[in-house]
Amino acid sequence: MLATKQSASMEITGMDEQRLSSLRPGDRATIGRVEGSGPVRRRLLELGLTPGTPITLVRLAPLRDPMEIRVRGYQLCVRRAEAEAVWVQAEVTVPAPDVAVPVPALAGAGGAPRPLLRLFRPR
Amino acid sequence: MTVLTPTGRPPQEGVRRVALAGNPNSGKTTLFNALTGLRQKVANYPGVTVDKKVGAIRLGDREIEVLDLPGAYSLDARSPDEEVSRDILLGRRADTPPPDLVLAVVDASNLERNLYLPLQIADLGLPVVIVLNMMDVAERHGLKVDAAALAKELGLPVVPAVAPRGRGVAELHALLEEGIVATPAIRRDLLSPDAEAAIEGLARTVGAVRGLDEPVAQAQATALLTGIDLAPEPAVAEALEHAQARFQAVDLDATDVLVEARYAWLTRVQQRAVQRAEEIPPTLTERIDQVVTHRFWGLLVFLGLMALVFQAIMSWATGPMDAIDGAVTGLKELLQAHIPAGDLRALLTDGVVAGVGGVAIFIPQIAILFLFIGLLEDSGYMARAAFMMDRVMRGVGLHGRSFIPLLSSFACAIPGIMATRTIENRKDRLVTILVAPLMSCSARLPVYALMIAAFIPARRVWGIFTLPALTLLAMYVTGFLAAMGMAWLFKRTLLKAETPTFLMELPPYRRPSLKSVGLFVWSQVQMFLKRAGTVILAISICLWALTTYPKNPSPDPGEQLRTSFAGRVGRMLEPVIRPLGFDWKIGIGLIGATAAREVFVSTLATVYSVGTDDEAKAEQTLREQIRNDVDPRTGRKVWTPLVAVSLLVYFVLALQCMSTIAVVRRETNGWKWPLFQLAYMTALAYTGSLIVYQTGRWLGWGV
Repeated sequence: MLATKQSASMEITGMDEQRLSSLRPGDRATIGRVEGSGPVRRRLLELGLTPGTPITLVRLAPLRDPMEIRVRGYQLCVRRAEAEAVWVQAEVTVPAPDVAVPVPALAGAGGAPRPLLRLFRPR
Repeated sequence: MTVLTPTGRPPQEGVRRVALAGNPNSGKTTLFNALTGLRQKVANYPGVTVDKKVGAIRLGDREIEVLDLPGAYSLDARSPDEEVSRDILLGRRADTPPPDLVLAVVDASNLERNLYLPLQIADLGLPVVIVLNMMDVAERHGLKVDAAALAKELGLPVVPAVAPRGRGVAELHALLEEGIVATPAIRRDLLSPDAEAAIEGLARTVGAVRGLDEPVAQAQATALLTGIDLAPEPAVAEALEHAQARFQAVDLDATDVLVEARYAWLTRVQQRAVQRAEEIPPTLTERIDQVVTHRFWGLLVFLGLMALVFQAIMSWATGPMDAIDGAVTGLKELLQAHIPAGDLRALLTDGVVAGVGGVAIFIPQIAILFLFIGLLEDSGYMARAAFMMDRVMRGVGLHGRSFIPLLSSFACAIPGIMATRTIENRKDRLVTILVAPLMSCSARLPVYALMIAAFIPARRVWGIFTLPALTLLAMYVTGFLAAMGMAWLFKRTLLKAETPTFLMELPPYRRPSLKSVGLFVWSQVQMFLKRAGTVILAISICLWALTTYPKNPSPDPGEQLRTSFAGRVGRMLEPVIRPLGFDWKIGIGLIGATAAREVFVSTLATVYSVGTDDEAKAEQTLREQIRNDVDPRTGRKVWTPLVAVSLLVYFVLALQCMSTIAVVRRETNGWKWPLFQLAYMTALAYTGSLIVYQTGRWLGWGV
């Protein structure tokens, strides 16, 4: 097989594949595949949204579009239209023994980030 | 000690040209400033509107040229910035030779994605040194980056740095002085044996055709397969097709496989070189964002900041602008005192000095707007503003980043148009430039004020408003709606773009570097003076000549203007502008206003031969004069409230600003777009006024 070592040895257990655009703020998921072809898809991959990568949907913009996701330790905003093409598993994958799934910096044991002012709790 | 060049040959004498490459927000520019200080120049790459920043490092008796490449995420270019970076690294730009060495700046707190680009560059066979920037930020995020381990994993030299504090600069200087030990390019991606075989097959051809060592050939094979077009030779192209077919045979895309393999490897590198703290405190960025991008508070903060920017351009600039005005007047008086009256004096005072003043008058607003843009961009807020406004701007097919240039255009379209550089997509940027002058700028205000004061009755409306205030508001709203409508139209017709995309990083907040912001403001002002200033000066001298010649012996300046070329053109124009309700005197005013809209008022004052000794009194007199002006042929008043409204609409929609034309020419690299803009806005203004005046007459309003 010509696939990469990572995706070859990665077993995906989550059954319910859904679109990135259907996630809600705070949801964590793993990238399954990016649909389509062409430069947008290529760029999504090059920005690190490769299969098996854990992501978190951080928040939606005030008008609910675009959305902010955390991937590979940085924040990226994506319009809903582009997020439609990204399929994710809302459940965590089981990593192969030699390739541990990196934990994004902010989704660690610290739990939900402390709000600056209690009043402004996000949705 | 050899340094490998793209062709695998060692360069003649050490490192002479260095390029800084890296993702946007990696602190590249701050490092560039730290390395070169004031020994830098900002220019434009020929043919594209991408800033070219070149600096120099002096090492003993040697000088090394440093090129700050535009920010890029990948060499598979998606924006003009990325195209320029790619082409320079590939040695494809005739104006910029490829570097001997690339300093790849990476954000230590965001290693995986930041390392993707340096690996692509290494694949081209260029020697790469990793500058591990923002070590302090990484530490605050609970990340411990082991530079030595990273260097071992990557097989590339790694220099840790904190650019704002100059950490790492001495090490980089030393490294450049000594030169670096060649690090042969190695292909590092984690691939299955079949994929390896496919790449090796291609690499053999690449190596044979280009005369490269195996590791460099393998790296270049990867570059070829990931679509970074190397303009392959026929034999290589054939081998490339063959390799791609091998991937396709098992239903895989070569690029996908290679991108994934590279990230898989980068994940492993990161695991070996970076230690994460058990307890990671929520970052300051996250806490600020909870407020600043909040549905309600975020919008409030945004509106507050925009109000501040707007207020600053409108009011902070007044002092310096008055000072420039005063200096210009002083200079004029000085010339008048020392040069005998005559054509030369008039040319110098009314043509040259007035033109220089017309250029200089924009500096305060440009400097203030770019000060804010620099601060907002450097701190990371700009991306949040775009994030919040994207949905709004998308309604007319634009991008979140178009918002600030359009808002600034309410003060003045010149800095607004210059600010469109933050928009990556060429078509989005062009549409924003095309509609920006429709936003009512401050130069229209004197015209609005004169018309409203003279013709709009100060009647109360709904108790709390007055008719003049509502009229003024209506002008701003009309301009805004016209801008949105035209943007919508352009995006659907002329500048129809492929699928709109919006993939933008929200960088961590950081304290803006005053040095960087200062240098940014300075470079913008400098570029405005150099590129637009000359055109503005030339046009203002032409306009002076048009209003001065042929000479009229009459001592009355009004008579002189009426018989000048401009006056004649104004008269010739009358049949054309009659349907809008304008007579030849307004025609002359409109010609004067092509220099700048506010000149309309003073031109009109000259036409009506109003003395200009006391400004307040002059305006009062002018108001009386135009109210009472009677057309000798018809015996009817020349000016009616309807004419005033028609003229107001004309001023809202028309492009009467040579400085805007000059800046658009400079920003779009040619005359095509500014002339198109002039044509469409004039047509829009003419049609708008025509509809207003004719409908008004038909309904018997304000006649």
